[in-house]
Amino acid sequence: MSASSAASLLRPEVLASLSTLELVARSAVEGFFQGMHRSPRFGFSQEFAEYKAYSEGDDPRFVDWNVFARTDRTYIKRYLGETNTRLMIVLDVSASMGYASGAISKLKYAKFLAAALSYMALQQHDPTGLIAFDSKIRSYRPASSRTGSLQAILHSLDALEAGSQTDLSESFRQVREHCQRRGLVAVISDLYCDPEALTRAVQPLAWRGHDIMIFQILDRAELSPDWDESVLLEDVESGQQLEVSPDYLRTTYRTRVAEHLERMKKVAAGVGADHALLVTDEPLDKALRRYMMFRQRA
Amino acid sequence: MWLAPWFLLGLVGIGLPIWLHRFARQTDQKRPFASLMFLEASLIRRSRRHELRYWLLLALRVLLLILLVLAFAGPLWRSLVKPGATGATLHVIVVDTSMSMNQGGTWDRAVEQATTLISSVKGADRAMLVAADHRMTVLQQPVFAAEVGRLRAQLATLKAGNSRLDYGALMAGSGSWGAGPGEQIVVHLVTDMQQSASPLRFADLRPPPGIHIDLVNVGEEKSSNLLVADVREAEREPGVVLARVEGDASALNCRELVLEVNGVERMRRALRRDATLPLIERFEIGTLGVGEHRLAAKLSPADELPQDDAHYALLRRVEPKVLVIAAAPDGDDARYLLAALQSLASPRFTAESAVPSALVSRQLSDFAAVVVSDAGLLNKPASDALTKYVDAGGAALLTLGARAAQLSRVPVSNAKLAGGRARAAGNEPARVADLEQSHAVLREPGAWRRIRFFKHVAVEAPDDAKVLMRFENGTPLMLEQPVGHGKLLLFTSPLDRQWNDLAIHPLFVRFVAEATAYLANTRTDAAVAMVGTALDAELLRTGGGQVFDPAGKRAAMLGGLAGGAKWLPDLPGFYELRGSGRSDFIAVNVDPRESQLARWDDAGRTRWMALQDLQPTPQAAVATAKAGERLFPIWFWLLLGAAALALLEPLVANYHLNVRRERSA
Repeated sequence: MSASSAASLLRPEVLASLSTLELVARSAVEGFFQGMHRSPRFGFSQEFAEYKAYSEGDDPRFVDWNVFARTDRTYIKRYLGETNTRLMIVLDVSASMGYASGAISKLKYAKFLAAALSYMALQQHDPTGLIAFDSKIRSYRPASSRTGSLQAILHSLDALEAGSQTDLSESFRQVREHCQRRGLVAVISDLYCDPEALTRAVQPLAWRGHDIMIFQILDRAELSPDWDESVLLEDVESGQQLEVSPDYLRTTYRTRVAEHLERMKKVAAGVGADHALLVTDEPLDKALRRYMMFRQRA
Repeated sequence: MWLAPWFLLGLVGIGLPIWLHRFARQTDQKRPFASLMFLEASLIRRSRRHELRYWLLLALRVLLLILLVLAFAGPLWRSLVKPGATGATLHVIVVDTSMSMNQGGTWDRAVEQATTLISSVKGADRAMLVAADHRMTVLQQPVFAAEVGRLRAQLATLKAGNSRLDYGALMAGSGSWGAGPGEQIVVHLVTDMQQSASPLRFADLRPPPGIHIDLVNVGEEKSSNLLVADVREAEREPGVVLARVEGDASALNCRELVLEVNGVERMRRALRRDATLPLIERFEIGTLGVGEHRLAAKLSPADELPQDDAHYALLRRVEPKVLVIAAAPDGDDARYLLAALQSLASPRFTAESAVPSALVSRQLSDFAAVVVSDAGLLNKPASDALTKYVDAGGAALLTLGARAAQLSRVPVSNAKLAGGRARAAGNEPARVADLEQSHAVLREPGAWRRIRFFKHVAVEAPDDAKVLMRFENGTPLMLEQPVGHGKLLLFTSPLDRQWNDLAIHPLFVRFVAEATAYLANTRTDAAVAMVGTALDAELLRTGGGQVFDPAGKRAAMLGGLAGGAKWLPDLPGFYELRGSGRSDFIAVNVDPRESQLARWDDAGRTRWMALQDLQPTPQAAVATAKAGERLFPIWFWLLLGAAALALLEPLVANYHLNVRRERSA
């Protein structure tokens, strides 16, 4: 498989044509690694990653005794792909995620991403779980690396539909209850919320030691709407209607969206989270690469 | 209440704007969007205002339709009013359209004043327009101030006529204008205050109770007029026509009098400036031939009142043919009758005698009348022929003699003979005891009572016959009976010397002549009429036909005599009556009283106005104007509201539709 053909596998419209989420996940991840010319089995390499202070529970076999001899301190060596990190995918299934200006809705794109992340994580034997929320938790699957976890997650993803309005504070309060052990939390949402609300929702997770990655998914039409005449817009969550001129959408609206994205990045940076903006017409490799990089840092 | 409730079905049309609005909303480019959080709050508020405007526009359009439908349905607003409670007034604007209003600028002033009166109608007052001359014509029923345009439209088409107005008749007729409850009637009489329009009795000027008179004088203070009052053939001077000119001597300047005969100018004569009025001009035109001649005397040039500058008359030179039926053409009775008929100078009859069989063989329509010396002479064919002739409009004088006494019924008349025999008078001859003096042939009652009747045939008067003379015992001597379109005179005693001595009295010739002239309809004084006066069947002398006015246009269709045909000419000149195979003329002139332009003085008007003060106004008004319901038509206001909404609608619609073109400022 050539690099170009592998990259084409990551295009959302190509993934959308696949029949099952498992196939989607496999195609995305395989295609991603094919393009990177690296083995997906990265977790078992012997490439040194870092030293880490020994703590209770660490395997004493990995203690670097040479360092202990020199410094009288106990460190363990860590290698790439060596660690098992608990991945909890927190997926926003509010009504706004159901929006689509084209064939791929934000929710569908988010499902692809969640499936790919799950596949990738479980390939590394990272326990992976799923929480879907809108105004509250709609679906919960605890993190597990057991055989069949992927199918369970994919099945849960497959059953998800766009729900109602978003309530970050309530939903993340429940998310915190399910994420007692520290790990990696991948939040997938369009983040149509107040930046302070996002801070209040995510900050406690960061304080607990979770590594947080925020995938903000938007449609191209949300970023740069382009209509020739006035349109009557209907909020898919509230049902509120508003007649808007194209000039407004081309100027003020875009400025406001850009400001909102910037604030979201700052919020993410403020809580130590990684923020990635994904547009539904973009291939998944960007997201997976960000995950890989983040995973390796975690 | 509704004037046209079926229009309410139009309310179904309200569904149209509702459907259109729904349709319009459906066609809006409504698009789902993830979130409106980046849209300005002010934009949201504006959108709410647009929504409000949308409903406002819909409501406005629905209301517009409702108002239109209601306006066409003609709703009437019902309100209870008490007498005098409203203070409303019914203004009856009466415009004098008599002939004198044509004088100078009188009519223009009348229209101007009437227009001013119409414009002054305000508030709850109503107004109506009436044209008054020889009759009162309501041109526009009462309307409210908002609809006075109708009055103006009627006034614009109104013209002064040629007939006469009588103020007394106007006052008597003004009581028929009923005011609504609580309304007071004010009659605004726009007139030239002509003295000759006054009634014979001054008291006849009193208006009916509850009606106030407002005299609007539009007459000219100083005016002069000249008229031709008469034109006729001089008595005992055949071929000489006399024309009488009356009026103001100041109007004689540079005027000529023209005499036309049958539409052709025969003579023209300049009037002397110093002539004394009335002036009688003599025109020697020579003897006219047999027939009807139209005489017209005209002043030239015409003055400011041209309608009376001409006078029209008919001159009839007739020599009617009369057929005398007797047992023998040279018998005594035939000779007496022929002699009597031929002795007349006017009308000059052409009489001939014949036996009864001539009634069958001759063309009876050539004869103006048929005289039968003894109805018993008529056999069945002759009787039928004579009946047919009379029925078609002819005339016959039947006398009943010895032969008729043998019959059971009188031919043509079908009158039953009482006893079937001639009745002798007894020892003393019978005399006329009762006669119709007003009849044209019975003008000398004293002479008739001197006639002795030794015998007569007693007949029972038919129901449709009128007994003109009776004997002392009550039996009829002479009857007049209509037969079809014709006339029949029945004399129950023969015109010979055996049954009566009429033949030896001077009355005999006059009676035969007048009776025959009456039957032949040869009078010359009946064919003159005045504008605005009803012409009765006798004057029209026709069994039906068409009437053509002086301009040659068909003016009327007349029924038969039995229909009591009456018709009012409205133009001066010669009217032509065509029908029943003949053509007759009627000379129609204006009423000479309309030519007298003298005005009422202030004292006279004050006295007239004082008459209405004499009436018990408050009580009478209360009596006539009882409390009741009053219906106000409100369609106009609804239409006005609809028009206002129609103006407002595009503004609101544009305001609403501007949303689509709105720019984010």
